[in-house]
Amino acid sequence: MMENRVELLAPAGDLEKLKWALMYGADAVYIGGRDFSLRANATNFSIEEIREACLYAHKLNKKVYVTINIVFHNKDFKGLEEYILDIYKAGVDAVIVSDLGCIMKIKEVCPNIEIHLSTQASCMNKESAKFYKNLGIKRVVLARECSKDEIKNIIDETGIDTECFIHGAMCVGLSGRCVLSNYMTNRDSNRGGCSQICRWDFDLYDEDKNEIKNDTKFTMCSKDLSMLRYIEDMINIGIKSFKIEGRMRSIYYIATIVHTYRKVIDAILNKEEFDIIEAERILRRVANRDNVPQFFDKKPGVNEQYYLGREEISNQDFLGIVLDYDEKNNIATIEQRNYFKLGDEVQIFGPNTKTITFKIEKIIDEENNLIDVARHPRQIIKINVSSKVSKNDIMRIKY
Amino acid sequence: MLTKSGDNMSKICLMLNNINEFNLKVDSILIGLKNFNSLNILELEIEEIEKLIEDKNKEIFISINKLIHNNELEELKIILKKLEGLNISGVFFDDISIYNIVKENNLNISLIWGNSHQATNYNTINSWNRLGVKNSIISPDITLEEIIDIKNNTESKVFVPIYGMFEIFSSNRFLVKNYLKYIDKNSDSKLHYINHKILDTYYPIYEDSNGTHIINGNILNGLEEMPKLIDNKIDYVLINSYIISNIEEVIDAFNEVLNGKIDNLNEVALKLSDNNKVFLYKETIYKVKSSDNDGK
Repeated sequence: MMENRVELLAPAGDLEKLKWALMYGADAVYIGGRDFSLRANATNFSIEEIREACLYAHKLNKKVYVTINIVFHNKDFKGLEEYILDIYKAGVDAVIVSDLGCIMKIKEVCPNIEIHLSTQASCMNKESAKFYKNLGIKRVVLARECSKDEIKNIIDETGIDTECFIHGAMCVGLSGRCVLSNYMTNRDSNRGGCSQICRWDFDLYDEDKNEIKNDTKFTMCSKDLSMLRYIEDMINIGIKSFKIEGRMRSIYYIATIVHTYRKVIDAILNKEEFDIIEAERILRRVANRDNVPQFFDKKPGVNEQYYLGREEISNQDFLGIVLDYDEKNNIATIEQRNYFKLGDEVQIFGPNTKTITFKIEKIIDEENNLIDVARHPRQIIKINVSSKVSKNDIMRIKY
Repeated sequence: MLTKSGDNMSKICLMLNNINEFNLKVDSILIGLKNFNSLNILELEIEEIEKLIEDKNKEIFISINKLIHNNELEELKIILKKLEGLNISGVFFDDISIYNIVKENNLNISLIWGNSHQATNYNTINSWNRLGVKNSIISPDITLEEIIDIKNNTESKVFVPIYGMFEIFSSNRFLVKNYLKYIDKNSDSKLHYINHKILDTYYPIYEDSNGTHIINGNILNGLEEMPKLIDNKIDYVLINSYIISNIEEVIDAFNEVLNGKIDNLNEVALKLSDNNKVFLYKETIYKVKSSDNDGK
């Protein structure tokens, strides 16, 4: 029997990603509507889609949170009241907000909706948390700059529910306090248009504007966050919700990250063993980026920054989705997502399927022809799989 | 000559960068509290501020606008209690803990809400007003029309950045130090600049005890907009002297406008610096295109 159940919270850029996140073990998802959300260039959800998302999640006894986390300009408030009422009626479990004016507006027009404070508000101390608690905020997504001791103290002293990021890309600046994107590309970082200037390479000069020359350019790019090795600590200090970043990520990324953390959290809660090295390898591979704990255990230094050698190649690991499995003949029907061929060593994993590794020995196309290569996106093929797999399991190259 | 601004007239608030600027002809000045400030201005210890106030002949505002870590709260409480006893005109804050401490301890300190970027609408400013915070610093990232719209829809006093180079980035990380360590080089400079080939602008970057700050490399020059701001009863215009060599000339020009003595504004503005309006007439964009799964 599990104790201290914590929430695994996943991002979902659209309805398909939402379903995959929940299927692979998320307890809740956070999504953005077509307006008022900091991922203005994700697909995002219409009101009808939010309603569908809530119905889908609630049937699974899971939750849907909607971000309304832009920094509002005067005209951005237009339509907000109607929108809040619409999403409340659609069944959302909470809204994630940073702007005090927006919080007050929500409390005025829809006092029953649960409000979570966005990390954009950069809450990092108990006095701030106390203020928001007194305002009726149910949960605070703490600033990414909080250390373990700070988080524990905030929880112990205020009793407010807390949510912390456990995985994904990091803002290198203080959230809501970086407008590099506005000034360098005219894209508004605080209204969902961030052009990620922190990942650019710059020339660095001294105070006399003499260049400090080096083959490696100056950049502010930080490594991704991974709290894998601190999940147990996070559970023990009382954090309620464990949040994964990335509403614009692929279903493969979401499913893999959620699945990995689900297994780790469940293993810790059930006092079972788990292979942390394997989990780290999977997390590293899926994003093609290094990941580190950042502020939780120490102040980040040079080792938490990227300067060169970032692999930004498109991830080709995602080979296909299991559509069906014929137990009698040990044949799986697969929808192809990336090129694979006979002889390739692959893995299949899923919400209820322990990861299996095997070699592709047979590929059959839709006309029952034996083929050597599955090269067409979304091609339906059959392959040999000796042990049982299930619909919606994922096939990837062998890690 | 000190500007003779009445209560209903716009005032200049100089964001001080050098103690020698204290006697410039402005109504008020803004100074940072050492280790607790995030703006690119002069920072002083509380004792130094105390001494400065003894000679006070103008309003003195104190910036305590960094984001506060838990372990700094006790020191912050002591500082705020000390500040209450000084004759300051107000405290600029960003972190909500300051509001909470002032309120819970019934401290008689006037608060000015807003970091550099989040006071962008009158609804939020009015929400703060209802909580007792009657002043806000407006973001320099919005248009003149939006600024006027805010002023016309709030009872709060507003501080509008109108001249100088303002902060555009703040981090708890030491980004220059880390980089220099990585490339195994030293630099004695307290101030550095970054530039990107497509920008052709030198952005000041510096570190303090809290981390790294980047400043806009272009001087916002809103001299020509002053008549409109005065007409709309903007309470304070903020001028930041940060690495500006002709600050006296700038202050004189703004005082002349306040006193209604300049006709050739464009000509004077161009003499002060490039007539860069930054966002005064340019809206930022945020919806670039439909879904683009860039994995970020």
